[in-house]
Amino acid sequence: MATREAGKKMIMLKSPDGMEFEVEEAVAMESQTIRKMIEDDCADTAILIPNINSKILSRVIEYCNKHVPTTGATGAAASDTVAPAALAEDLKIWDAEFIKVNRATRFDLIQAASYLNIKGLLDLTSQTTIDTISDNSLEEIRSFLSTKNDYLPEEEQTIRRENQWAFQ
Amino acid sequence: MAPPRVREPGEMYELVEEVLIRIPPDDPAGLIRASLVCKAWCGLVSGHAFRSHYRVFHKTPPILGFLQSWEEEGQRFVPTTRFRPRNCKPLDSSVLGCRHGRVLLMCYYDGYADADENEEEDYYEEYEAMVVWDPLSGRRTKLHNPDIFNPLINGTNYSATVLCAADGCNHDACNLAPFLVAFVVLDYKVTERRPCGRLYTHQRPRSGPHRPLFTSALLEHLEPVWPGVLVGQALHFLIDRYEGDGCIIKCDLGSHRLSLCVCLCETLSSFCQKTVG
Repeated sequence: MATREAGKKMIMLKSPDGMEFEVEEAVAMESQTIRKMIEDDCADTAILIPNINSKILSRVIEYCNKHVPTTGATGAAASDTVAPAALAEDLKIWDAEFIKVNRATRFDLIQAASYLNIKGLLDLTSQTTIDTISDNSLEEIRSFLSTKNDYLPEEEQTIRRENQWAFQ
Repeated sequence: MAPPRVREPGEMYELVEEVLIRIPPDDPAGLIRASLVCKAWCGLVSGHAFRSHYRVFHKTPPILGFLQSWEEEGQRFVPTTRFRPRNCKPLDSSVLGCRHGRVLLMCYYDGYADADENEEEDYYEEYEAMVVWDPLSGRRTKLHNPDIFNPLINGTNYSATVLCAADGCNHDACNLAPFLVAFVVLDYKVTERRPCGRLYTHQRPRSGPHRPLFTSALLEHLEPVWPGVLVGQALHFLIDRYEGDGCIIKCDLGSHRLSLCVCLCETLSSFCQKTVG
């Protein structure tokens, strides 16, 4: 196992397209799936992350790096000088920038967050889709999700009529 | 061999569930809108598994609204979200109890009914009957009054409540499942001032083993003052006594027995009456 800095255990993550990412164990353990592998001693060598290509995996690692609790040498310095509320606000702004991706990337990120079980990333990536459902017409939602409407017009009208309050 | 078709995002139902489960419970319109995207989504969000996961994910369910009773004007649904109940008929009824997503109403009916064969003219009829209302689906189930109970004779000397009848249910999505109605009446004629209670199930509203429940305690001049409270496997009805003190009748749903549970002192009884009355 490679070690970059004294006292910091490093983990190697491999994407199916052959890229390798060396990350701190604490960062990798933001993923509950990887945490379980490490705790069960299944992570002696590099961990292969199936179904998540290197482009998406690097974004996921970027997210985990930002969200890992700041207890390291550099993190301690930051948290000593910045109030927790300001840190949270900073994270929020960072998240908003992070999620400015195209639709396909967002769904890949949802899939990755789901597989790797990273609750914060799943919340963040899902919220944009929920906002789409709340704020757009049904046609726009279907187009956004590339989903075909298989309701007959009269079936759709019946559901709309019975639940008028939801469409006002 | 043809390559497998790449699924569109909206077809990845395991991911769709991850997303839709995050629709906030205090905005139930989001779930209705999602169910109109396509039939598969409708099946997903209305399925028992999703509803169970949704309840676990969000823990405490939101308050969608409350029923406000008026002495002379029935009751009305006061919404606290965008949700509006189905088949809400606010007039000519009063709320007896609410539990597990259902509302037990006492509804007042009047009108001309068909005459008996021996009589020539129609006659005007007024009567009361209990109705179990599911505000989500709008389903209303009219119950036949227990034969020990006649509102015109018993007046207000009764208390009743509704609860889910399914064994081991966590009540996350049981609004269409069978229900029980527990009913306690103080009947002066039939039981010589002994309280009687009955349990009704949805499947057997008219016949079947509706075991009459009664206790040997002799109770005089009593009046139930509040819908029953469910504690463990027993419903408790607070009974007010005209003289000032009162008692609680315990209706054990397991053993189908009624018992006089606690006698309250005057202060507690009048406090309860002022608080809940």
